Parts: sequence; structure tokens; C-alpha cells
Amino acid sequence: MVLHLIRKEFHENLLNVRFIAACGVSLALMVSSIAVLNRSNEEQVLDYQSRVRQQDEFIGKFGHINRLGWMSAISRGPAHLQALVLGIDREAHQDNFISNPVPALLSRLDFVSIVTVIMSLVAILFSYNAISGEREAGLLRQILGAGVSRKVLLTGKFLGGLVSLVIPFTISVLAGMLFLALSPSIQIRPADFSVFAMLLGASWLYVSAFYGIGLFFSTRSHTSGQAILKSLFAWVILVLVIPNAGPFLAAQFYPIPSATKLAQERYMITDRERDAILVQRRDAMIESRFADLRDIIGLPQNQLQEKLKSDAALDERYRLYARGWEDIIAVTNREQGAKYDKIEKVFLQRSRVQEKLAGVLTSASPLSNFVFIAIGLTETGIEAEDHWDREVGEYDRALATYADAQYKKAMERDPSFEINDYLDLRARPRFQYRPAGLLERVEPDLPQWGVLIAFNLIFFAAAFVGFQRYDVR
Amino acid sequence: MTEIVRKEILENLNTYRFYVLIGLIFSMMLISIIVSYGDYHLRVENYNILRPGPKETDKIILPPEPLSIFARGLDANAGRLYQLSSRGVEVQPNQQSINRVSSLFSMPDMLFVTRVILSLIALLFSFDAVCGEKEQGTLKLMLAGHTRRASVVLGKLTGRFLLVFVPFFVLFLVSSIVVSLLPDVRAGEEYWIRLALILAGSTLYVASFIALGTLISSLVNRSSTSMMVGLAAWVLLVFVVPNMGATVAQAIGDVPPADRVEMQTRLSTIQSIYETQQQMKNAKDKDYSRIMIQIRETNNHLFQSYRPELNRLIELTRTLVRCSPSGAFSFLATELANTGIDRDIRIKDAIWMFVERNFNRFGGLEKGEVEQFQFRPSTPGEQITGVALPDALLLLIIPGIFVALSVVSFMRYDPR
Repeated sequence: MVLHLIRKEFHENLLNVRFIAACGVSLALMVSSIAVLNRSNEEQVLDYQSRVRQQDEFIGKFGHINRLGWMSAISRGPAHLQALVLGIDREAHQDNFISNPVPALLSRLDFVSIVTVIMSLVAILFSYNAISGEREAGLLRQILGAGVSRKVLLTGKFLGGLVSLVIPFTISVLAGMLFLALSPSIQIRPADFSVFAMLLGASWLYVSAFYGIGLFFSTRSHTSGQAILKSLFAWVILVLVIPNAGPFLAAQFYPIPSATKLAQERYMITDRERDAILVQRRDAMIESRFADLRDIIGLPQNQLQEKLKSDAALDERYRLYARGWEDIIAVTNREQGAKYDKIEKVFLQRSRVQEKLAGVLTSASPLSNFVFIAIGLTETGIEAEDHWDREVGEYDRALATYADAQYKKAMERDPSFEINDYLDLRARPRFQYRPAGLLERVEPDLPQWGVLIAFNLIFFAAAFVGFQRYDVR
Repeated sequence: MTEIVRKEILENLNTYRFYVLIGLIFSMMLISIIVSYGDYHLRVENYNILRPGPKETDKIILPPEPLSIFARGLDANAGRLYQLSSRGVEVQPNQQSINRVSSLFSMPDMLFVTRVILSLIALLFSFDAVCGEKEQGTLKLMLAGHTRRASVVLGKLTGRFLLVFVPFFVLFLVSSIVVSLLPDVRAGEEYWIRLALILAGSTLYVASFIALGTLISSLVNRSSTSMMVGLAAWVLLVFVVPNMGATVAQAIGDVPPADRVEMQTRLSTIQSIYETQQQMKNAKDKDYSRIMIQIRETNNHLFQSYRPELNRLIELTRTLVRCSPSGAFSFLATELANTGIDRDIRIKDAIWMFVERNFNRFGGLEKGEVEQFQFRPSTPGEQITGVALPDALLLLIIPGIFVALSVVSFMRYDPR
């Protein structure tokens, strides 16, 4: 009987104008959005590659240890599946003085916004009159009078409606993904197919949760007019209010210190204060151990080199001083770094708590759970930013170790070698971003999958209970 | 016509729909004010921490704009700390003390409430204006008398507009008064003028959607079809066109990202420092002023050559996004609230010119005090006759077109 009802519901929907409209709208939007974002992505990838090349050539030509961090700054390229899911739009971060302000004002249309806003609304439009509409048409009494149980009828309505909603949606998503897979600018990895499948699965869960909401309100309303109003009210709260208000409420409930203040403290501790300590320690070292070198320290490089070449004992003494100076720099950097790390740790801890709170507050809506899953899978979210920071941190340390060794070798060859002198860094390790594994990407968002499933169960159960008490007259 | 307006109001006033939708506006505006004021307050706290002392002329930070409570726009962006040096201008990317989750969603400010929710409510109040009466069979009766068709449709339109607008107007007024009394909010004459202009823009925006709903209602025979078409139009105008406009502009604008300019500036600065240091390595008297002049010239060249390209991209985005009343209203409201794109551009230009004028003093190349940075925002009059004029005109024309089309369509409507 359930199968029969599913078939009937599906056939009825097939002939309905809303099915054709849903097919057309989702296909047109999905493919056009992916095509446009893909084009944008292509240009960004090309520009990124050319920037990496230019920076590489620059270091080969002008490499020196003093400004190595500055000249080898790793900028983040576009995410691999950014044409599908934009996630945290880095253009909206406005990192540069001359950044385009538009992304901070207007968001762009991607797969996630189509599913979360448009498909959820379509789902409600498919289900709001499933029960109340049948009652208004007088069919509900007839069906129930024919011996069909309420349980079977509701299940048939839920599954039949859902199938007719999911089919056009799936076709459009598959068309979009196929477009992406065939695009020459994106190298599809085997794991991407799993990502596509999971994205589709999460979208089904998300869309069906909203179908359940429409069905629930249909069982709680006497007329379709009331049902759509209630459903749209719930839609506004779940799609527009909770996710948007959550992060800002979290910031008010649990404030964190100013990030710029932290940046200023970093500059003070690891730059100005460090420089002052260095000068003080160096002077103390010269005073206590190298008073005899006072006249030659600070001489122009060519004069110093001449003096050291002509006097082997002096050369030996100067090497000792240079090593001592190196040690002072290393110790001071370590001490000041540790001092800053302590402050940063507290800040990061508080930031994480606020982020977690924002996640909890927003997870009261299916939208946020779906967004977290999508950005997690496509590496365009918060975890991906943390992963990127870890990768860059690791690389920076490897580069610093390499450059340090090169610098020491150069110092061995010529004790007058300075931090601003050319250092051949062409054989340095290059940054290779290793994306997080699929499991690593899925794991943090497992609770979100659970919440999405729970939303489906709750709304269906609520519709079920509502329908048991429904007055069919 | 007055009779029809009164009938429309009285008929809808005591309905389930009226209470649900008014409850929605009320709760949304309340949430909006709580959340937006909280955000503004945090930004004020941040500003107070970072505000430079009288001698710190190398730092610029602008106070948060109180009207950002109504339309946040780019205020958080414009209110960041600008660090000036001989290397140029650096901005703090993560100044705001707010979690990264917020960057995934939009701030539910008053602009958002009006643009997204009020427009939806306007459509839900007007989708059955004509076809609903037809379904009930009352349209025939109405037209059987001497009432002119144009009066009927205009009466319906006005009545339904008042049903949505009057509660919104009252709540907007109450919100404006409440916000003006809150700590940290300085509400002078300009605050009220700007809010009045934003309200005028909101009026036209709501009227656009009421007229659109009425137009759709007079084109179809059933209210369920009218609602479907109305919701599709709403999604198209509020979500698809503005967001797609921004996406398309970025894809076809062919403007390199700012990261490229940043890299070029950074590398040319390092190169200038490196080369000068190498040249002066063996010199007794080291004169580093050459480095600064070189850096300034290169940075200035990069900025000046990128600015027109960026402006072209911004203009293209504006043109595409304006195709929807929602886009035009966003631009109008943010400019009037002093949180728009134009203000952002003007601030950056003012900072750049300030650096230009004082560059030699920053670097000690020239004696004298660095002047105090001053930024004069545009007056509401300048904005309305300048940057916001196309948006204001569009918001005047769009409801006019929809109203005219509704009248024409209703003239041919079969009431049977």
C-alpha cells in the first residue's frame, strides 16, 4: 500500500507545474553558478601559480636571511573545490589595503547557498499542502474511508513527495558536478567522488528536513494558506535567523580580546622589546668578553674583511664573538617567542571557546549543520584554515632550519658575512600543501550528520503525531 | 478608492496571516537591534582599545558608525586599524573580536530584515490581492458596481501596502528612538536625516514587492499559483540576482586579485631595501632616504595603476547587482548609513593622500609635525545626488513600473 501511495504521490507531482519549475530552477542555477565560479577559479589558479613562480625567482635572485619570512610569505591559493563550495570567502577578509570591498558586502552564489536557501524553500512548497490540501479538496476523508491507515498515508506522502523533490535536485547536482569533473582547470582526485557523494547525501538530508517541516505544518493546519504561512515562518527562523544571529550572539555572550591588540603585543615583544634586549646583551658581552674587539665591531664590511684577513688571531677572536652573538640572537628569539606564545595561547583558547559556542548556537538550525558538513568536506571552512596554518607553520620551521644552516655555512666561510648579504636559497625546501585526508575532513563534522538525521526524525515524528490527531473534515 | 483601501485593511487586519507576519516583523526587528547593537558595542570597545594617542600619527582608525546598527555594510572593514609607514599602509585583517563562524553567515541587521524578510512579507500580503477575490467570487460583485478597475487595483495595492508598511514604520521609529538612547550612540541631526532617507528607501522597496505581488496576482487565476510565482520571483530578486551579479562580475571583470598587488609591493620594497643596503655596505655615512623614496615611488605606481581596474570591477558589480531592487536598496541603504562601498573607497583614498602628503615626515626626510588625519564623510545631500542617485531612481521607477503593469493587467483580467 505504501508503495502504491508513493507512486501516486510521485505521479501527481510529476504532472504538477511546481515539479517542472523545480527541475528548471535547480538545474539552471546549479550549472550556471558552478560554471561562473569555475571560470573565476581558473583565473585565480593561474594568477596564484604565476605569483608563486615570481616569488620563487625573486628569492633566487635577492635571497637573504634578514627578510626571508617576509619575502617567502605563503599566500593561500584557491581551494580545490571552491567552484562548488566557497566556504569562508577569503576575498571578504580584506587582507590588503587595496582589497576589493564588494565581497565583504555581497556574498556569491554557490552550491551551498542554492541548497540552503532555494532548495529548502522548494521543499516547503512541495509539502505544505500534502495533508491540508487533500483535506480542502475533500480527498482525505475518501482515502482514509477506503481503509488506508493514517500511518501508511503519511509515510506514502512523505516518501512520494520526497522522491519527486529529490529527483530534479539530484539531476541538477549531478549535472553541476559533471561539469566540474570535465573542467580542464580542476584535477579531480579519487577522493573527490566520495566528497561529491557525501555532499549529495547531506543535501538530501537537509532538503528532506525541510520537507518534513512543511509536512508537519500541513498536519497542524486546517487550510493550505495557514500551512504555508506557518512553514514559511519556520523557514525564516531556521534559515535566516538562527544561523545569522548565532555567531554574533556568541561574540556577545563570550567576548574575546582584540586581535589587533594581540598583533601589537606581538610586534612589541618579538620586535621592539627583542631588539632592545639584543642590544643590551650584546653590549654586555662585548664589555665582559670582547672589549678588545670594540674598535672593529661595526666597521664597514670591506674594512672588516681586510683586517680579519691580515690578522689570523683577530680572525679567530672575531669568529668567537660572531658565534656568541649568534647564540644571543637565538636565545633572545626563543625567550621572546615563548613570552608571546603564552599570551597567544590564552587568546586562541578563548577564540576556540567562542567559535564552539557559535557552532552550538547555530546548530539549532539544519542550515548550519549542512554548511559545516559542506565546508568541511571541500576544505573551505574553519578546520581547513587551521590545517593550512599548521602546514604553513611546519614549512616555515623547515625553511628557517635550512636557511639557518646555510647562513652558518656562509659565516664559516666569511665571519664578516651579514644577515643582509645574498644567501643562495635556491635549493631550499618548497612549500607543498598536503590536503587533509578524507577521514580527517569527515570526522569533525560527524555530530552535524547526526543532528541533520535527528532533524529529519523529529520533524517526521512530529508530523506523524500531528496527523494522528488531525481532523479530516 | 478610499472605500476599497478601507475594505482591504479591515478584511486583512483581523486575520491569522496579519498576526503571524506582524509577529515575524516584530521578532526580527527585536533580534536585529539586539544583535546589531551588541556587534556595534564590541566594535566601539575595540576602537577605544586601539585608538592611537595624540603622538601616534602613524596609526589611523575611524570610530564605528552608529548607523551601522541599521545597515552594517562595510563598517567593520572601514573601521580597522591602518598602520602607516614608509612601506605604505597596512591593515589589520583580523581586528574584530569575533569568531570565524560569523564569516559564513550574514549579519541580521535592519537592512537584512527589510531586504529579505519584509520583502517576503510584502509578497505574502499581496499574492492573493486579485486572484484570491476571484476564487472567493467577490471580484465579480466588486466590478459589477460603478467602481473603475484602476481604482480597484490601486485601492487593493494601497490597502495592502499600508497593512505591511504601517507596522514596519512604527517598529522602525521605535527602534530608531531606542537605538538613539543607547550608550555609545551619538544621535545628532544627521542621524535622523539619514534614517528618514533609509526609511523612504524602505518604503519604495516594500512598495515594489507589494506591486509585484499584485501584478502576479492579476496575471494568474489561482492564489496557489500566484504564491508559487511570487516566491520564485522573490528568490530571484532577493537572492539570485544580487549574489549572481557579484559572482559574474568577479568572473568576467578580469581584474587581478589584490594579493598580486600586495606581493608586487612587498617584493619591490624588499628589493629596494636590499639593493640600497648592498650599495651602501661599504659606505661610511649611510643614507637610507633613497630606499624610502624608491619604495614610495614604486608603491604609488602600483596603487595608482590598480585603483582604476578595481574601480571598474566595483562599477561592473554595482551595475549587475542593481538589476534587482534588493541590490539597489542595499547600495542605497549602506551609502546613506555611511557604511557603503563609496565611503570605503573615499576613506582609502583619503588615507593614501594623507600618506603622500606626510611621507617625508614619517621617514624623517623632512622636519615638521605629521598632520592630523581627517576624513570628511559625504553629506546625505551629496550622496542622494551623487553615488546613491542611480539606486534611488531605480527604487522610484521599479514600483512605478509594477503598479502600471498591475493596472494594465487588471484591465484585461477575467473576474469569472
